[in-house]
Amino acid sequence: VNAAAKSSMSEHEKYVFSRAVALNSRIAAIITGFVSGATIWLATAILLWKGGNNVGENLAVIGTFLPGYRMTWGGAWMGFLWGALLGGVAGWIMYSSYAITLRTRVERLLASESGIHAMRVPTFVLDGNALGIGLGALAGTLIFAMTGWLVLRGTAEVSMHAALVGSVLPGYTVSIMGGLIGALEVFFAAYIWSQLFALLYNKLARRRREIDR
Amino acid sequence: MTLASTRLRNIFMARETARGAEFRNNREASAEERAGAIVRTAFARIDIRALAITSGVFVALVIIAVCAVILLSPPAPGRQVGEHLALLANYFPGFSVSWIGCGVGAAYGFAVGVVVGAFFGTSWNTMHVIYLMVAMVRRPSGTEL
Repeated sequence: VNAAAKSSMSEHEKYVFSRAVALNSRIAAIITGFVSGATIWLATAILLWKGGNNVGENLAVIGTFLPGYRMTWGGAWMGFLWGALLGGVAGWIMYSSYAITLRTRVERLLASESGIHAMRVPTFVLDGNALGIGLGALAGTLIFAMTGWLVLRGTAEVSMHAALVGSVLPGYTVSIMGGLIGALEVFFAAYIWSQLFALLYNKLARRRREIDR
Repeated sequence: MTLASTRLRNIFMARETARGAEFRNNREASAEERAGAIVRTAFARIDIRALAITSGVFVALVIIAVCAVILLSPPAPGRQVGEHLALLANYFPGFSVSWIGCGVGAAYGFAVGVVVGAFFGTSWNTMHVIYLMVAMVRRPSGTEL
């Protein structure tokens, strides 16, 4: 009973926790937004610098999903803005979903007095389940939304590049049903990759922390 | 004699340290200490080296997996094996859709993953430090952070 009382957060503590999560969500959004935007800009810029005939013929296809994106310097900056916006939203959703497990961790910490008195800032530990569900749901939604957009535009039949996704995702076709199958496959793939990612990161981080001690 | 007194002093100090830790751990935590523990957990530092290595391995494995799927599955009629994936050579010179090219791509992927992971970890930790510094400067004098 005592441990349960200690672990439950007061109103002030809930406020502190929610502010910290909101701040972390913003930080995650800024970093993933910048990385996504910079990736699109750099991918475009490298092709523009190299030049040649039909520069970036294939990369220009993302203009179907990102209005205003073209294989020009102006288009590269447009791509940066789109990447920053979409990456930012993705980062924010990812951390917000991840923070659900953080609350459990904080409550566990509050129940143990020795944890409260520790002065050292702990090392960030990844939760494979939370990361997998967040990332999987995001990637699955993205595949389904992109496929749905092509179907709604009426260009599903001629979308050769989208159809190529089927070579990596068995059963995927540019249709609503195919989009659903693709979304499920991507969800499970992202979930498994996230588990492996978390496993490796946590192992390395814990090992290094033990060496530091 | 000196050695014995040093040993005794060490034993005494170890006992006192343990007693101090026991006292700290047993007493009720104050509201500030509990709030501090929440902030410390929420502001946990990312292990930059661990994240960089993990991201590198992850990107390299993704490139190997995609290459392997394409190399092991038969090409569509009238098409070359992995003609679109081969465009990655625009960014990774030396990359090709072959087992050797796949290794080259994995090496590039590892480097890219390391850079992105290190950037993410450094930015995350730095932004927390900046936030805490700003919060310390802005706090009213004589109050807890």
